[in-house]
Amino acid sequence: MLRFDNVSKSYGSRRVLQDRTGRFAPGAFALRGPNGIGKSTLLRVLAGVDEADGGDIVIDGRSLRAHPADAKARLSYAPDECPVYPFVTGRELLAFVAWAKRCAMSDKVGGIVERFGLGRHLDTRCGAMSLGTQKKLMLAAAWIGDPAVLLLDEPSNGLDADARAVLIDLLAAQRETSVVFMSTHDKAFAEAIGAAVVEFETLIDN
Amino acid sequence: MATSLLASANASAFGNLDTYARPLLTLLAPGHGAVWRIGYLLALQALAATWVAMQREQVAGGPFMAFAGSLPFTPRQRRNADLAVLLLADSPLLVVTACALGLTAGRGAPAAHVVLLCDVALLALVAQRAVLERRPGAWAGVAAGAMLAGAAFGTRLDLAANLLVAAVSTLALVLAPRPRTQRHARRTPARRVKPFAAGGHHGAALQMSFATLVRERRGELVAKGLAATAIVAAAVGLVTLFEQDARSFPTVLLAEACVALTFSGLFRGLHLAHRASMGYVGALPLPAGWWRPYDLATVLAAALPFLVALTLFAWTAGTAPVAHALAALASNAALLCLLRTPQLISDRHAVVLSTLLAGCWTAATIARLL
Repeated sequence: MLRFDNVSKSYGSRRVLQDRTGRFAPGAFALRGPNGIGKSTLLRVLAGVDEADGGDIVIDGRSLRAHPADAKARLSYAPDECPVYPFVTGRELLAFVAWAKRCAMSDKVGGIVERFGLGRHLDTRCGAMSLGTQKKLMLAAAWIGDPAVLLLDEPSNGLDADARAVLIDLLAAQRETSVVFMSTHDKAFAEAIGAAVVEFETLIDN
Repeated sequence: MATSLLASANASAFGNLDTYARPLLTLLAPGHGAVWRIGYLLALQALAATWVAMQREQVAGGPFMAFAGSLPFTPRQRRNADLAVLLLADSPLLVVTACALGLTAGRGAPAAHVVLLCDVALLALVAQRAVLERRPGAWAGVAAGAMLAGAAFGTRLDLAANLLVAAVSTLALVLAPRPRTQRHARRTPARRVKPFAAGGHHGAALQMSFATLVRERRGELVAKGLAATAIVAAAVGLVTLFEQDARSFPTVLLAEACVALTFSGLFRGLHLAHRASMGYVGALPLPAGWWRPYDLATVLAAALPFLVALTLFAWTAGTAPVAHALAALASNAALLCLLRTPQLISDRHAVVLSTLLAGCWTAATIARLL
C-alpha cells in the first residue's frame, strides 16, 4: 500500500534525505530516529507537501509523481504543527478537506469528532484553538475520505490523556485496513497501538 | 493625502497650510449648525477609529507583545508604551491637527476653538484605544463628548464644555481601564452543535478565500472600500462639474480602472495566506494553484459594487449609452482579473507593473469605446 524507492530531498545545499526506501503493507509502523535526522521531511515528501528530488513514491498503487491527485486522494497527512488557515473555523476546515477529497463527511468522521470532544470547538477559528485542539482537528480530518495510508507526524504530541486513549483505539482499528506510518518518540503510545518500530536509518535499499 | 494633493505650488506656504488643515478648520466655520457639527465630529472619530483598525496588528505589536505581557511592567508603563506607538501611527493625522491648531491660534481665534481642536485629537485617541482594546463601551463616551462639544459650539458655554470634554478624554487616556475580570460576564446561551455540511461543494473552497479576506485582512478590505468610495465620489463630483460633456465618460472609465487597481492589491494577501497553508493543504488532492478561481471570485465580489455603481451612474447621468457603460464594466472586471498576475509576479515591482497594465488597458478601452 505504501512504497517508496530511493527518495531523496535537499533544501538548497543541505541534503536531508538520501535514497530512502521502504515497503509497507497494512499495519502500524512507528518511525524512530534522533531529532533532525529527517523523519518529518520524509513524511512531508511522502504526503506530497514537498516534492522529492528523486525516487518514486507509490500510494495504494498510484504513483505520487505521475498521478499526484489520485495518490493524494488515497492518503491522509497530519503534521506535527497546524499550518492551516488560522481564520477558518474547524467546521469550515473539515468541509474543505471533504471538498478536496471529493467525498462527503461520513458518520465515522462525525463520531471521531465527538470522541475527541471537538464538537464545541468546531465553530472556533483554527488560530484561536489550543495546540491540543488543533492536533485533534488535524487527526479527525485524517479520517476523511477513507484513506489507505495515514502519515502522522508525532500524533500523540499535545493530546490530553482521554484524547490519547481515543487515538490509540482509532489507530489500532485502522491498522487492520490501512498503512499507519507515523513518526513518534512516544514508545508507550507506539506499543499500545501495536506498531512495528522502523528505525529511520534502516530505510535503505537492501 | 487628499489635502496634500490639493496643495498648490502657486499658493503661499500659509495658503497651503490652510488647505492642508481644511478638514479640521471646516469644523470651526460659523455657518454650520449644531447637527452638522456633531455629525462631522462623529465622522472624524469614525475616520480615526478606521485608521487605527487598519493597522491594529502593527500597533498592537504582534506575538512579541503577548510575551511582553508576561514581563513585570506596570499597567501605567504598558499604557504609556501603547500610547507612544499609537501617536507614531497617528503622525500623519497629528500633522494636520498641529497645522489646524497653529493656524487657529495664530489668527487669534477664541480659546474655545483651540480647545475644540484639542478635543478632536483627544477624542480620536480615546476612540482608537477603544478599537485596539476592543472596548465598544468607550465609544458611547466618545459619542457623548462629540455631541457635547458640537452642541455647545458658539454658545456661552462652549469653552467650559470643551474643557470638560478635554479633561474627561485625558483622564480616559491616562487612567488604566477597568480589568475585564471585574465586569459582569454576559451569559451566553449554550449553542447547539450544527451538523456537518455535506462535502464536495465549491462553497467550502470559496470559504477559504472569503474567510482570509473578511476575517484576516478585514482592515485592508475596509481601506480598499474607503479608497474606492472616495474614487467613486470624486468621479461623480467631476462628471457633475463637467455637466455631462465629452470628458464625462472617460472620467468614469478612469475611475473604474482606479477601483480595479485598488482592489487588485488584495490578491497578494490571499496568495500569501494560501502559500502559508501549503504545509497541510499540499497533501490534499488538489491541482497547483487551485485557489486561483476562488480568489478571483472573492476579489471581484468585493470590487463589483463600486464598478456597478459607476456603471449605473454613467448610464443614468447620460454620459454613455447603456451598451458602452456595460462594456466598460466588463472591461474593468476583466482588468481586475488580469491584474492578479502583475500583483504576484514581483514583490518589488508589483505596483509599477500593475499601474502600467491598468494604464494600457484603460487607454485601449477608451480608444475602443469612444
